[in-house]
Amino acid sequence: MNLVELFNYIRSDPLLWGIIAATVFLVYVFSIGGLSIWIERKWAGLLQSRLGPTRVGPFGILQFVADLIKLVSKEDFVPPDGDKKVFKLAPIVLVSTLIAAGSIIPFSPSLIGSNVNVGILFLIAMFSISPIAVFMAGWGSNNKFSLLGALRNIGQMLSFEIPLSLSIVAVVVMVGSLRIKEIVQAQDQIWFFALQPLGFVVFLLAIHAEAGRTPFDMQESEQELMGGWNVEYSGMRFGLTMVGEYIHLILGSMLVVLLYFGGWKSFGFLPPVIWFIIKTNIALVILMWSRWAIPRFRIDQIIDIGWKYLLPLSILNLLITGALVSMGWFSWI
Amino acid sequence: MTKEMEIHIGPQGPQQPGPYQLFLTVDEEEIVDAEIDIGYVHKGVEKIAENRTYTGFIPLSDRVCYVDSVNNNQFYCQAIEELAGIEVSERAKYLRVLFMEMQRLISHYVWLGEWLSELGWFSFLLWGFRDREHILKLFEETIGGRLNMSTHRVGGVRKDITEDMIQNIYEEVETIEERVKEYKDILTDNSVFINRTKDVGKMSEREAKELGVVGPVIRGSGVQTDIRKLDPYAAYDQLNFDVPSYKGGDAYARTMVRLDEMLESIKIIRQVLDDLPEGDPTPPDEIPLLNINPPEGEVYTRVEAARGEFRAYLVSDGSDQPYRLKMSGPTYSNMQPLPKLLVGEYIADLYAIAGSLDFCVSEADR
Repeated sequence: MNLVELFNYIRSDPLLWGIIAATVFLVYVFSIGGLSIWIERKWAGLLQSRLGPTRVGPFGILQFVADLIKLVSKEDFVPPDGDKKVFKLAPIVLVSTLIAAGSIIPFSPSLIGSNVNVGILFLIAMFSISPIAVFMAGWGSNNKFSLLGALRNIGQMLSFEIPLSLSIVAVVVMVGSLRIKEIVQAQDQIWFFALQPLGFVVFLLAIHAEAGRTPFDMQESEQELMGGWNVEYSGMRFGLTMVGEYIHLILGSMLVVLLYFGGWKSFGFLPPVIWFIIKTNIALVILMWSRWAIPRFRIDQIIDIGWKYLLPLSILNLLITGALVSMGWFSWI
Repeated sequence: MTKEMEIHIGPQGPQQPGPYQLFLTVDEEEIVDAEIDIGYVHKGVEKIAENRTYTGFIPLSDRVCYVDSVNNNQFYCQAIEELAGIEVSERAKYLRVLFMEMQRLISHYVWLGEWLSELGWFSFLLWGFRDREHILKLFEETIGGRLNMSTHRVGGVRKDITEDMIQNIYEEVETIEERVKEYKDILTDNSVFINRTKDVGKMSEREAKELGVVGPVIRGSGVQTDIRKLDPYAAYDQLNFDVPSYKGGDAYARTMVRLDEMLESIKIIRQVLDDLPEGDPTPPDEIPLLNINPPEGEVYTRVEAARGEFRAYLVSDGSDQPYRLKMSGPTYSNMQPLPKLLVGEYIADLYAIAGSLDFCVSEADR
C-alpha cells in the first residue's frame, strides 16, 4: 500500500479522518494557541504598565512551553475522599469534546477536517457537554468551593446557551445551510456582522460568557471561591482544565470569524489559512481585553443579562431575520 | 427549600489582607449566617512594649500595621510627649503631617489595588502598586525606609528634608493627583463596578454609630467625623482641609470617601510644603535618645490613622519602660459590622463588602 492509497483509505473512513482532523486542531491549539497566550500576556502587560514574559525564548515567546513543562512535572494529586473516577475523567471529557468540536472547523476551503452536514449543530452539542464535565469535576472533588463553582457554571451555561444558539440560528436561516463551509462561502459579497448587527452583539457576549473568562468567570472566581471548580486539580490535570478553557476561547473566536467575519475570505497578499489565523487572533485579543478592563459580574447579574436581555434580543433578531428571509431579501446570498 | 451548607473562608484565603476566619452558612449563593474569628496574628505587641524602653518601642510601633506605620509612630510619640511634657518644634510638626499624609496615600493605594482585584479587576492591583511606588521612593529619599520608616522620634522627627527633596515631592504629587482623578473618573463611570458596589453592604448612619465603626467607613455612612478636626494634633489645626463624607453607606460610598481623602491628602501635602517653617525638626539634645523617664501618670491619646481613629492608652510608673500600653486600632472597630453586613448578601459580595471596610488584620490582632 503506497502513501496515496493509505491517504485515500484514511480519507474514506470518517472516524480515522476525524481523529486526524482533531489532531491537526490540537497541534494548532498548542502552536498558534501558544502564540495567542503570548500575545495576551504581552497585551495585558502593556495595559497594566509592566513587561509581561521576557525570559523564556525571544521576547518570552516560549513561556507557555515552560508553563506546560512545569505542570507536567508536578504531583498528580487526587482527593482521597472524592469520587476518584469522576474526578479523573472530568478534564478528559472537557478537553476531548472541545477538540472534537475543533475537528469540523474549516481553516480554508480545502483545509477542513470534516464538512459534516450538521456542522454548526455538532459544535453547539459539543459546547453543551462542557458544563457536564465541569460539574463532574466539582462533584468529584468533594470540595464545597468546587461544588459551588460547578453550580454557578451550570446556571451560567443554561442562561447563555439559548441566546447563543438562537443567534447562530439566525445566520443559518439566512444561509439555508448548517455546513460551516457554506456559511463562509455565503459571505462572498458582504460579511455577516453587517447584516446581523444585533445577532453579532448577542453572539459575542454569549460566546464570551460560554468561554467563562473574566468578567464572566463565575465558576472560578479566585477571590471568593478560591479558584472554584478546579481548585482540587494539580499537575497536568489542572493543565488540561486550563487548556480546555483556552480551547473554548479559541473556538469561540474562530466561530466569531467564521459566522460574522468571512472566515478565510481575504484581501489578497496571503493564503486564506493565514488570513483565518490572523482574524482569529484579533478576535481572541478583543475577547481577552475585557478581562483587564472591567471587574467581574455577580452571578445574579450575569443570569439577568442572559435571560432578561440576550434571550429577548436573540428572539427578536431571529424574528426579524425570518421575516426578511421570507420576504426574499436575502435571496442573493 | 434547599439544604444549607457551612463553608469556612480563611484564615488563609487567597484574597485576604491578613488571616481571619469567616464561618458562613450559605443557602446556595446566599449567606444566611456569618461569624467572624480573629486573633490569628496576635503578636503580643502590647506586652512587648512593657519590656522595652520608651524609645525602643518606636520601631515596633511601625510594625503594628506596616501599611500605616507613620500614623502608628504618631500616636505613640504623641502619648510619650504628652506624658513627659515635651514640646515639638513647628517644623517637626509640619514634617510629621507631611509623612503622615504620604502614608495615608500609600495605605489608600494598597486598599484601592487590593479591593478592586478582589472584585476581579486585576489591573487595578498593578496600577495601585505602581503609584504607591512613587511615594515609597519619596520615603526612601527623605527618611531612608520604604515600609517601616520610623520617621518619628520623641520630640521631633528623625531627619530633616532638603530643598531638592521638597521639589521632588511637588513633582511626584502632581503625577499622583492626576492618577487619582483618573481612577475616580474610571470608577464613577464604570457601570459594572457601580452594579457591584451600589447598595452592597449597606450600613445606615444609625447602624454605623451603634456598631462604633470609625474612619472612612463611618464617613461613608454620612457621619462627618475626623480626629484631625475634632482633636487636632501635630500641625493639623493650622492646615486647611475638608473631611469628605457620603450619604450612601454602601461599598460605593466608602470607595468615594477614600478617593476624596486621597485628594485631600495631596492638598495637605502641598500646604505643608508651601508654608514649611524654618528650624531644626530633630529632637533637641536635652531629650535623651534612649532612656526617657516620663513622670508617673497616664495618658489617653488618639490619632486619625488611614483606616480611622487609632486609640492608645499609656501608663507610666516613672521608670524608663511603659507600665502598660493599650492600643485599639481602627480595623478592630471596622471588623465588627462584617458578619452583620454579610447576612442576606451573595457569596460573591463577600469581598466586595470586606474589602470596602479595608482591614489590616495585623493591626486588629496587635
